[in-house]
Amino acid sequence: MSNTILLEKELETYFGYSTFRVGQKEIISDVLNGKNVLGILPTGTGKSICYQLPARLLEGVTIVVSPLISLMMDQVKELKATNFKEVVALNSFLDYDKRKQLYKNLYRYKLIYVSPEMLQQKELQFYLKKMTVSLFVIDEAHCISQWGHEFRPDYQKLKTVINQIGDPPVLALSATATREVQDDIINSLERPICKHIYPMDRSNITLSIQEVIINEEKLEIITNVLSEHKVPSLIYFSSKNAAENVSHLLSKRLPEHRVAFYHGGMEQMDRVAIQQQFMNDQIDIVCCTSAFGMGINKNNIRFVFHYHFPGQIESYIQEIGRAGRDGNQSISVLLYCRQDSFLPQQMIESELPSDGDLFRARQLFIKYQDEDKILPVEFQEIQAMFEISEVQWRFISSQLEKHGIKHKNGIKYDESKVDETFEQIKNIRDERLYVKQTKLKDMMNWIHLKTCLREGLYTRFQNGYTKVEEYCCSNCGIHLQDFNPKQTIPLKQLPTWEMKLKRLLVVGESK
Amino acid sequence: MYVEGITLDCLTQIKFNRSIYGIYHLLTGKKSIQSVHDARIFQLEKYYGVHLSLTRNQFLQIVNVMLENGLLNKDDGNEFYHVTKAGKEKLSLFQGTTIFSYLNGLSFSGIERQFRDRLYLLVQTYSNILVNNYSFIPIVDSQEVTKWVKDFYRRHQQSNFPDQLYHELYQLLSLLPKGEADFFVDRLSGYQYYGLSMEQLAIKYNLSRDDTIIYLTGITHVLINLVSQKKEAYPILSQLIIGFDQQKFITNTANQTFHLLKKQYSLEQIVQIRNLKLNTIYDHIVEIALYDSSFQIESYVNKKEQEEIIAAIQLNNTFKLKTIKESCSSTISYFQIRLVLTRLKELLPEGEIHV
Ligand SMILES: Nc1ncnc2c1ncn2[C@@H]1O[C@H](COP(=O)(O)OP(=O)(O)O)[C@@H](O)[C@H]1O
Ligand SMILES: [Zn+2]
Repeated sequence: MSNTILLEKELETYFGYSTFRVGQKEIISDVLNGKNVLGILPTGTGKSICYQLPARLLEGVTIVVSPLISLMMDQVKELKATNFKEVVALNSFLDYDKRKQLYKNLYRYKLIYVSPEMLQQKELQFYLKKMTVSLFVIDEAHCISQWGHEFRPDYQKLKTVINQIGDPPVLALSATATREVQDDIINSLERPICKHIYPMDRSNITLSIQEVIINEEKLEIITNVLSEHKVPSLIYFSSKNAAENVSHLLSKRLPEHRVAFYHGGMEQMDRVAIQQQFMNDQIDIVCCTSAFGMGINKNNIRFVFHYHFPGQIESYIQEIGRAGRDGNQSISVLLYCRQDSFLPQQMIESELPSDGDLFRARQLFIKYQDEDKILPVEFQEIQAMFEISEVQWRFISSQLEKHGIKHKNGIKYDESKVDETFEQIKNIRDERLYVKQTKLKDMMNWIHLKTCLREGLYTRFQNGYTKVEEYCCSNCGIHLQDFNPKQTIPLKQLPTWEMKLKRLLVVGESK
Repeated sequence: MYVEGITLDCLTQIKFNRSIYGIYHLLTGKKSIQSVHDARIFQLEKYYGVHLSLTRNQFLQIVNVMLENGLLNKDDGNEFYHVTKAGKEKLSLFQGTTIFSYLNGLSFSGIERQFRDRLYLLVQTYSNILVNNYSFIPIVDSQEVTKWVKDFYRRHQQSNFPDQLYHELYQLLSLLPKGEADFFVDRLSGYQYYGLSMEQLAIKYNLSRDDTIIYLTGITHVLINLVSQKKEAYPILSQLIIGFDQQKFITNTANQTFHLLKKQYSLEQIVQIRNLKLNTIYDHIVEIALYDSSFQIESYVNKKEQEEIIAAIQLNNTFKLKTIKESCSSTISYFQIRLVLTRLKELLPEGEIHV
């Protein structure tokens, strides 16, 4: 009892929250007791606290493996903003000197974010071995399983790293892991694990699917819905261009709304500006790609539209999960047009090497071996030699390493084995292709479901789901007329620069 | 409008002396002696580095659109462009804008970003501190700038400080036309308020993406200019440009050579000490001559040789190194010609610089 009261006090001290959310306390208690834990918590409920609080309480350092550099950066920024200074994100963009410097001073930090690729570095392992690692966190743990969305081969090597650095307790976290994926995670870590699985269905999000004949219809639907409501809304697209174009069209059709777009191709400062404008209700609608939303903690998003649907159900759940974090009624609208299924199909193909790519990669390896040269480390140099995307190259490169042909960019090559190896890589590629296509098919099947969408969406992840009376899904029937969310009151537009400057810097003028 | 105007101005000045990529390198502020040199001899200093993020393809796209719109034309089989009558009209429109008069690339392109980033973060920081909010997501994500603002804040914690900053900015921006001040202030962020992205500014002010960048660049240049000319009136803002005056040479390596020269080492000795090729040292000397007008070139190219080179330039009416070299006696080297080109303004009689 006293223990739990204490924990709440610590939460209050460090993060300013008075109570834990579902699952947090249970997970944190187990972690503090040195157990290995698998935690499945729905998106947006606060997975990060599950290791950020222990990081502050435990002696020694907490390591967090995270697949996305931008995500790590955001978290570090936010933690620093809450006055937790002993955090750092290690990424490969740091130049050699800075990195060396940082490694030597690692002991000063209490929380270290790192990408799975970086963890493979012997140099980093050397420094980590010398420290006391009290907790090893695997964020987005579904990346371990090839049945999870966003499979990352380097995640499968984590077990070895964990052993290397003194076998600290492990906390694996995910928001979207089917039962299969949960088993994969547990098997891959080879240790007894306490499971904390919480239902991921969000009963305050209405699921609606509307089939249209042409894209123009999508635009009409969005315009109609949003002209009735001025509320924070996201619209997801599968390409940067589409996001930009529709953003321009919508700002013409909805002159009362403030519309902007966001994608990974924008400059850093502009990305922060758009994200934060949205947070501060300076913008109503963001047209975005999947790059948006990571690290976005806006709790009153009321609509999430999908102008294009993602290639797998897990991504979809994650994206709609950005709606209604405050628990109030919110609506997700997936707009589906028959031609749309080509987009994820293309995406899948562009992520894996084609037969041609593999053939050329093979030529390249043989050539380098014959000339006794070392393969370039920089991806740009590889790309200069043959056209291939970074994801495709990462796939080939990690496969070759696995088969012992490629060793840290030096090639150890046994002529008799090359053909066999490339044949195997092709098989693995086909297997991955099959997984992805299966996932796409699942997504498509769900879209075409005639029964309750909620049931169809969530029962593949958990036993049962919370039934919803009103506003369940478009198959159960919904009436949007009655949907009456709180409207955004726009910030007063100041007419002159003098007044704007005053609002920024003079007491009594800001809000 | 601005990007086109700049390109037209460059083409008018450069004529057939350089390929179109020379202009591209100039605009993107390529850190090569050639680009700085070009800026100098063609008197295009103001455009050096005014559009750092421009890609080669975007630039070619701009040129192609200008071709289509009849601002430029191009002979068949010829890589050179002419400015048409319509182009000249467009150019003179551009030359009538304030932005044209503001741009000062060679002097400010190195400091512009620093000035703006420091200012953005400073305003955002003080705006938050004003309401006792000490945690916010910084609009500028650079360790260097963050450190600078932190140090600055440590030294200036007086409670009237935001007010002072306000008054300086007010005084400074009042010197600009209203539209420009509006534009500049729209990009500023503060307490629970984030400034517009470049894209949003482009839409609001009805500018193309490229012109938005140049517009902001131009305004920044004039602000830096105004502040540095009257430092005593801007005790805060003048600190944003500190650390720049000393930074004379573009490259560190040329600076090292300069120090050795000052210690009276010969070129051969410098080659040995620095373990570099003689040609590299020549490059450094040209670079030094470009940046330091008091640097004496006589010991590398004597008066008589200088006259011979000048005569060749005037005779052939060109700045092309190869043509000049062929027209001089064979003892004159490229190095010497390049050195003389750095001193054109002094060596050529007024009004004869245009070729
Ligand atoms: N116990 C809590 N009380 C209130 N807010 C919380 C609590 N735990 C987390 N949050 C907030 O919930 C939001 C989502 O947390 P985050 O960890 O980013 O979610 P996710 O599960 O998606 O990783 C954050 O803004 C976080 O500060
Ligand atoms: Zn239903």
